[in-house]
Amino acid sequence: MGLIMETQALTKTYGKKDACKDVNIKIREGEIYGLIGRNGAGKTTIMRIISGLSRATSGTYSLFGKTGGEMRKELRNVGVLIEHPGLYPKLSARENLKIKCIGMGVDHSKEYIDNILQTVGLENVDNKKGAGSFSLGMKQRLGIGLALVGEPKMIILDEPINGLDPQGIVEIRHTLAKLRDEKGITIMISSHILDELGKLADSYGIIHEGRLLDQFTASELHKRCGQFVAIRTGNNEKAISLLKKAGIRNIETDNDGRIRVNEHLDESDKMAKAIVNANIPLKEIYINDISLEDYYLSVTGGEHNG
Amino acid sequence: MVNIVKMDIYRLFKSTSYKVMMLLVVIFNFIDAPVGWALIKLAKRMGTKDTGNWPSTVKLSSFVSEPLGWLTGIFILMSVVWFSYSDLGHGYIKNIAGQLPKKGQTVISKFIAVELHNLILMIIAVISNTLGYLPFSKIDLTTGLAGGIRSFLLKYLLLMAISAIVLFFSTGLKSKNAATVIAILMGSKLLQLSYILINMGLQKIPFSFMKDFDISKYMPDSLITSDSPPVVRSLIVSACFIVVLINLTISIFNKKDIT
Ligand SMILES: Nc1ncnc2c1ncn2[C@@H]1O[C@H](COP(=O)(O)OP(=O)(O)OP(=O)(O)O)[C@@H](O)[C@H]1O
Ligand SMILES: [Mg+2]
Repeated sequence: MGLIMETQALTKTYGKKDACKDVNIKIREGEIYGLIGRNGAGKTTIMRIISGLSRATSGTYSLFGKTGGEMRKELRNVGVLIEHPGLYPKLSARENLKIKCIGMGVDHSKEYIDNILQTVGLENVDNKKGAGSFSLGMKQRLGIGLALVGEPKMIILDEPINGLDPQGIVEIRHTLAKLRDEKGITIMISSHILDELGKLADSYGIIHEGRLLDQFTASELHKRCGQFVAIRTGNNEKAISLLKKAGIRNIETDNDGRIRVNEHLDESDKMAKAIVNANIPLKEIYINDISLEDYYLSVTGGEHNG
Repeated sequence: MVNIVKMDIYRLFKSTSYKVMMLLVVIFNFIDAPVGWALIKLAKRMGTKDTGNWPSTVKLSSFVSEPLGWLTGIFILMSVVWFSYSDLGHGYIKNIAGQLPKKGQTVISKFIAVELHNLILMIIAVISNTLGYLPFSKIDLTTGLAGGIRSFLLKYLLLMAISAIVLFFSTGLKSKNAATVIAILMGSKLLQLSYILINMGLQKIPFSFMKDFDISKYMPDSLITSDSPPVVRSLIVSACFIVVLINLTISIFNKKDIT
């Protein structure tokens, strides 16, 4: 998969404060990229620049490998939902969508708009109801619908699941996965709800105080912190060669001096027995299960997201 | 570009405030004749002298040349403020501005929609004003009509210039309050009071050529109040205001972040 979007040293300064600094994000075509960070970390700032709504103080970015004026044209293919959905409160969902269709010069037939409404789960909404009276979740859905007008290749969604009920969150997750899998749309999404993002995204970027601290794929995350058998012994070297002889290949020692076995998770009892039988002192053995949230906290240095 | 003009015109016709303003323009222009007629009747009954007589014939041209009577100017400019600010105020602009080749295009499309809006409201004002007179007077359709239409077009042009000023505040500076204040001051002719002060100040400057300078001759809101605005000066003043302010608005809008 090629890169669809790449930023180079993207920096935005308000007064003396760097809202984001030297950010290098790489998003691959067809993936869901999750941007994680606490309040004020700079997520919205980055997304706004990439969406063409605001200018970077310095740094550049490319879309589909193009930069400058050529890139500006490509922005047409990037639909966005930044912060609160921008809706005309007295107009219906359908009319709100139609306005953008007309502005983009795309099909604004009833079928096209019905299709979008259905994609975001608003097909049953009262056509006379103004968007201003929608629930938060309905507004978010309509905001996603607006981002989808004109068949974008990429959509940028800034906290689209904030304030949704659990059922709504699951529905949006399914919708986004479907957009990726069926239409091949690349999605950049920010959220505080790391559990949900962990179930959805293919890649992640951790942003903290304006800086991109880490960027990794889901499988890298899994490797770094997913489930593994953690073992502490009095003699790791001996224990590792023993386990290797028993046919375990994916094995390493980590920074904490633990042995990490990344396979055969269901056979930890056999591993324990083998180590004990070889007279190697076994201090502890357990299945380590770190979530995206734990990893995020370890990268950003500790205390819980306030 | 054509598409966003279409978009702005579509949302204009969908907007509630536009419909409300249209209704107000119709009502206030329509009741002009019945109210005037009733007042004269009342004054006569109470024995007041010098009430004047109700005209048996009115000229269509006098309505055409005066499309912004009474509160109509303020109504139209207030409607301009609401319409031009609503996409920014509600944040709808975020949905589309990034996907356009240039953000500044939205300023031009908005200005075009506003001009259509002004024209419609001015025509409606003339029609409802005229219709209000139908039960009370004969209407002379032809006398002075050419002059009336010329006056109408010049006022339309001057209103275009004033709208550009309003747009500068609502869209360039993104201040609905400032735009509202300007719309009211210009629509109600109150801003012209400040021109008297400015003129007095200018006369204190010790350059002889400034002695006779009258700023109100060069401002669209004062030119628009004359019965028959001077053609050449109105054209030049309008063109200058429109070109300068729209360009300024576009460049500010391009520079500013959309939040
Ligand atoms: N227009 C602005 N003027 C001044 N400072 C700003 C502006 N916009 C953002 N900032 C600052 O930049 C920093 C990053 O803000 P940003 O909105 O990008 O954070 P965020 O990660 O989206 O936070 P949240 O999770 O609360 O949405 C914050 O410290 C914020 O105060
Ligand atoms: Mg944010």
